[in-house]
Amino acid sequence: MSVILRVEDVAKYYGGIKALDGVTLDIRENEFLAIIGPNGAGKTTLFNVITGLRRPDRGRIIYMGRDITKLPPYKRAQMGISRAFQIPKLIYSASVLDNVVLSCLFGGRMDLNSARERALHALRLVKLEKKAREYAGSLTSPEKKLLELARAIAMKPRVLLLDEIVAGMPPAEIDNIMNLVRNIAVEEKITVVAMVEHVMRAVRYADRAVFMHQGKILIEGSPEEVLSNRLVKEVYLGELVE
Amino acid sequence: MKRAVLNKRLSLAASLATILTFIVVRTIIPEYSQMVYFIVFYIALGLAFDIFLGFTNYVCFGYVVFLALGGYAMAHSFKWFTGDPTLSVALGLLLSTIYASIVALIVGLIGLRLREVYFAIATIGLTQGIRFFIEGFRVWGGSEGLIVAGDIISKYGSEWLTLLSVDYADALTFITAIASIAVTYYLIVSKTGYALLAIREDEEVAMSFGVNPVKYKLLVFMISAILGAFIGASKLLKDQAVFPAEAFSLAFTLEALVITLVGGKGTLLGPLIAGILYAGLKYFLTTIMPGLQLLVFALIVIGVVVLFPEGIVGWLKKRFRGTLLDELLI
Amino acid sequence: MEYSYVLISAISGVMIGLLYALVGLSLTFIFGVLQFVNSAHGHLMMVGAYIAFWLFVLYGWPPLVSLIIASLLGLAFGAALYALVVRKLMGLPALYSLSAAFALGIFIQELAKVLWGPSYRGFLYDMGSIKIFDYVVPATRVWGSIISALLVFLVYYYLYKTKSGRAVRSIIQNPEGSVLSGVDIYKFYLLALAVGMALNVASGCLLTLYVSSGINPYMGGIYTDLAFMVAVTGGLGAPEGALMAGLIYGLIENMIPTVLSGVQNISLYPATRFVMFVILLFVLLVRPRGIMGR
Repeated sequence: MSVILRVEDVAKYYGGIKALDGVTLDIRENEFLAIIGPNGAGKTTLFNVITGLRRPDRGRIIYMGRDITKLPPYKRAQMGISRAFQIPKLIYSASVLDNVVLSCLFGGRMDLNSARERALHALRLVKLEKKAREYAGSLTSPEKKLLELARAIAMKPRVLLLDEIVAGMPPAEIDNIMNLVRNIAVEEKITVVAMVEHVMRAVRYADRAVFMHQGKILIEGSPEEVLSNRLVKEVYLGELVE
Repeated sequence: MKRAVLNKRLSLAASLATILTFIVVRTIIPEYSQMVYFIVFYIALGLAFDIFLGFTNYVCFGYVVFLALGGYAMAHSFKWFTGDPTLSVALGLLLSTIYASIVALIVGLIGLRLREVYFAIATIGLTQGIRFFIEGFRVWGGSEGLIVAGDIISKYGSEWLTLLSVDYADALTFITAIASIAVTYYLIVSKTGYALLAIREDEEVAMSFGVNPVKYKLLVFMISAILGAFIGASKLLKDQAVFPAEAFSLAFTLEALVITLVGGKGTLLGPLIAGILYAGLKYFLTTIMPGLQLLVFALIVIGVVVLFPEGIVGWLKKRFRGTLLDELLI
Repeated sequence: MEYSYVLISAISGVMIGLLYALVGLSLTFIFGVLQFVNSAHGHLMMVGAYIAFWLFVLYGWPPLVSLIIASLLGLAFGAALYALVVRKLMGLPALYSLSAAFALGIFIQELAKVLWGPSYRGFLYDMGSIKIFDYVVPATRVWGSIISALLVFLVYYYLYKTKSGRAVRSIIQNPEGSVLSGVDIYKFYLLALAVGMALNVASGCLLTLYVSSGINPYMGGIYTDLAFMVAVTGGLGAPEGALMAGLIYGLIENMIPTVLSGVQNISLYPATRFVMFVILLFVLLVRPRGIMGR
């Protein structure tokens, strides 16, 4: 498997705080990678740097062989890097359908008709097609997360960065969504990078996992290997949600 | 899906029909031409201003600059060019486009990367900035301004003076109003409109969607500026003169704000309806208490913003959300 | 240029610069806490100038006394403005409060015109003069700068040395964080707008100690421009920068007409204001967050 996204010795400092302290990570095409770490480990900062919301103080991001470190966020989205945020980044005053259409129009660079078709398809994948005409603001909380997911995958990304969208959900729901994500990823050939802070259950759906702590990647391996690692257990003492 | 588009087209048709009605009325009853000009002027002003305000949520306090630039452009055409008068008007419009675009580009490239607040601050000074350049460095007639009545009479004769200040001025205003309606409609239904919606809600979100915010903000800013310049150009044809003290008056920005906010920002019917109402109100105030107009309009803006921010059309859409009326009103 | 001429220019620059610092400070303070852009700033200063004028002409009260009245009126106005207008606009997009402030400025201006007429007013308040080197400086200016400096110092003391002030600073830097730490943010919003407006109107009153003629309803515009220049240069919402920025502008303000007077065929006043606008654009282009901004 080839490397689709490479994070090369990236550092990001906020004043005296080392949010990212020399992170190097190869993300392989079509894999499902889980990034585990406690609060403050640098997972969100890493995602922000990959999507371009923040500039790194050191290092490069290489996507499909191209150095994208200097590219603005909208360009990276157009190139196929998509992100589903934990707090859904939706346009609440627009309809459910419109939200997804937007993603297709710009991130996906489609014309209006193709965008509408693709948007409906994405809504069907997450089983929200019945609510297409309603205002996004009127959805329930779980529905908003599904919409966020639909929005993120509708634009036909190559890489999907998944914040911990299943946080706070009951186990059955978690399985539901994670299965959905996995199936979509396989069907649409999307590389998924999922951020996991609390919900270790989600890690099982991944092919590979890395553990981050204090801005560094410390451990790497299969999900079972990482979860059973002693350091990981120590850091998470008593906080693991199974 | 098809029905939704049809409903929107109804509003477009209604707007165009309104302007058409005014044109017909004016043609049949020439005595009304002054009043019709007055009304359509404010409809055009509201729509042109709202193209930027309504779709980006940015306020250009220096909007009157574009009107003034249009006035100067048209004046320049009549002063510097001798040939067919209709061609002069066309040249004036070309110059208006050029002047407005240059200023909009400079201000936009500096200011639109910034948040709404910084942009507003930059544009507060814009009006005075350009005015004081003209007066301070004594270009374009300096403080005395430019009077073209004399040039027109000597070049083309006095019948042309009347023709330009009545028929051509009115025609230009109608054309600008129609163009503004078309652009506003387009922004509401098109892909560009979607992008602007995303940018308004949350620029970072918009960027995650793949939208380049500065590009779209700049686009509508320039269009709004050019249309504003056309309105100013029509005013020059009407008044036959342009004076800095009057042309750069902040009153125009205030008027545009009243119309846009009262009507409902970001809508097509809003500035249309409010433009008509405003023209009526202004006429009424001029007769009973001149000199207090700005006072009243300023109070209206404050009142609307605190009590009624969504404006007429916005309020109606909210009240009848989900119904046919909501779909019809754009 | 003579050495002492440069020195006296510098001293008068500092003196007016202290007033400008106060002007910029009141604007940036209101913005920092409430995110409210007070584009009526100059017009409120105009009101302060009129207060000084009327109290002097009618009762013989010197501006130093009118200052107190002006501050109290500003305080009341700020509180009322918060309760009636600003509070309702806080969650909405910026365009609403921007429009409200803009309209407010025009309203105040037109009201002044209706109440007091458009003609230029002035008064003569002589406190004698002070001699600095070979130059004679009106004592009123010296007093003006002393009081401006005092007020600026008081604001800084409040912000940096009192518990309440620390809360205000935390609101400026991190509104959500301070709410979570238990700060009664609404109380501080009210306080900030009231105090900010008090300083705003007071600075108009102080202005008359420097220039006590030319008071008219339309004088506010240039001071709004000035307030923004100082506030943006110092850093909008960063009170620390206002002092530095105010002094810088005080010093260069004298220099602009001097430089421009060499240029042929221009009108000095408008040209000066144009240069001021260009400086603002330049700052926004190069460093929008100002000297001290985040």
